[in-house]
Amino acid sequence: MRRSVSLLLFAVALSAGTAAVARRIDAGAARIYDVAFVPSSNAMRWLSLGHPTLVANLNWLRTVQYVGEPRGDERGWDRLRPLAELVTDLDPKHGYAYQVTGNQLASAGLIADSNAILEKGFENVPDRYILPFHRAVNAFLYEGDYALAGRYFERAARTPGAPAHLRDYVLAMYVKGDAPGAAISFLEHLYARAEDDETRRALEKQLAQAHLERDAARLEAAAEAYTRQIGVRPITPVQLVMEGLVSSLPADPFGGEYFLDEAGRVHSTVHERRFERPAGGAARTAAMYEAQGRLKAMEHAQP
Amino acid sequence: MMNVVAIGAVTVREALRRKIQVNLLLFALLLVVASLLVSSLTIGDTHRIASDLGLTAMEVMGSLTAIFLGASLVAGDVDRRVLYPVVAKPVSRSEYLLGRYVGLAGTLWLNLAVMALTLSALLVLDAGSLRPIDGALLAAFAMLGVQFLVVAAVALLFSSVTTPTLAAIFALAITIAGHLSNDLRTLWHGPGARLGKAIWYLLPNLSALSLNEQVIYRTPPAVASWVACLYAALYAGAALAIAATVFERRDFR
Repeated sequence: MRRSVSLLLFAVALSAGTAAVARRIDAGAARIYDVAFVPSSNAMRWLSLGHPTLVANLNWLRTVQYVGEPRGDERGWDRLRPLAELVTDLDPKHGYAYQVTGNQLASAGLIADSNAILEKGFENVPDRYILPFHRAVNAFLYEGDYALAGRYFERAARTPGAPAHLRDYVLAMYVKGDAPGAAISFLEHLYARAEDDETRRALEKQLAQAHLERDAARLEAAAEAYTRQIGVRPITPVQLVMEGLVSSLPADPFGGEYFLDEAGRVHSTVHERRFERPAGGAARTAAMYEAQGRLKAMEHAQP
Repeated sequence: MMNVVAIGAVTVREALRRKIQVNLLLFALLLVVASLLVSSLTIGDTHRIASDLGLTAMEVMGSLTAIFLGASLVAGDVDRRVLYPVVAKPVSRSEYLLGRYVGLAGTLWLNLAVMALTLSALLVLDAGSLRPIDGALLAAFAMLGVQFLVVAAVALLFSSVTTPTLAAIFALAITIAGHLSNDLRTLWHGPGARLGKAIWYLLPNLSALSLNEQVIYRTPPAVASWVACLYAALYAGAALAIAATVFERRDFR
């Protein structure tokens, strides 16, 4: 009996010691989730023992953790494209992988990578209209290339099962000429169809950017009017309100304040990123006529 | 025929009492349940992760059961000298071997049925409907059963000619190589391609007997899958015929 009690006490002492040491171990949760190495898809295919979808799914789980890391911007997103390539090389039909990683890469500002993944996606999964749709949003929103965006919107609209109002989007983009407003509509369309919180978060960030662009476009137009009226450039956006060119200053969606740089462009005090200036009026009009012709042909083909 | 059935029934009873069989089955069930838990880590469609991991867990554990039970069946009887009174009776060695194989197959299919029921129940629970129980899933279960028959035949072939340990090692190696054989043929180009092709014919093409992708994408199995079933049956038959040939001529002294 005494021996048993002694052994039990010894076990309790060791357990307490284990717990004390365990607290000092750098727990995984405290670190930012990162992927040190992404193996080649050929090597993984060979090692999968004839089960490429299994290895793709295991790497997809790693990709989900990588995308879902709350401090992802702090860590950077340089492993996302290789992970996406690995997953989709092993399982080319994994449509949601293209959608999620394409969206996240765009949100992180890696537009070329996002475009590459989305283009690979709609080649391999041609029945998923959201992939060319997203590629169109990238062309429209980040590259200012309306003609290219129009072609991808048309491709999305032609996909069987795509919502009928996609055709309206194409027209809205060209006819209204309200680029930021149209961008918000496109992103809201993607947001409504998002299936998980990570995708929604990435889209919220892009929506905030689109709101910033819309506000900035209005303020920049008012600043140009101010320059024409007064003869000098305004120094702060407040002058635009004082001259009655805008009724009030919009709130910065990123939580900062708007200011004007020396070239007359509006920026947020807390968010540096701005889009490239979109195509000029003549280019837009030419693209509009071209797209309208294609849309008419499409409507004849798909009543 | 009655001899084969009688030996088969004894084999099933024996196998069900063996610790390795019970442990592997419990571990397989644990892995199948874990696949559902792991699927909660994904975003979007959880069915793809749960079904893929679950089917792979079934495949791995079922194959291991086939290897370890099969490797020790005949070689174990020889080691323990249980075989001598059996062959002294009016039972041919081929009948004994076939009876052992039938019993092993019955055990593996019982295991498969338990694992399949567990995975199906979990997938239904996850989906909240009977939608996951489709033709692709049922075909995948059937195909796993066929795959186990091939692995069991290979294990029994080695069990007929060598010791239980060596038989298990050889059967495991052939099973792993069998899963790689398709890739081997695809990647082996150039002057040695004929050798690659010859090895491909020699090894069991086990990756052709996996329908995970069809289950993930809920697509019906292609005709090629049923051709693969026929191939597997012929391969298992050939392995058993070789085993019987060697076993008939084997000197137990």
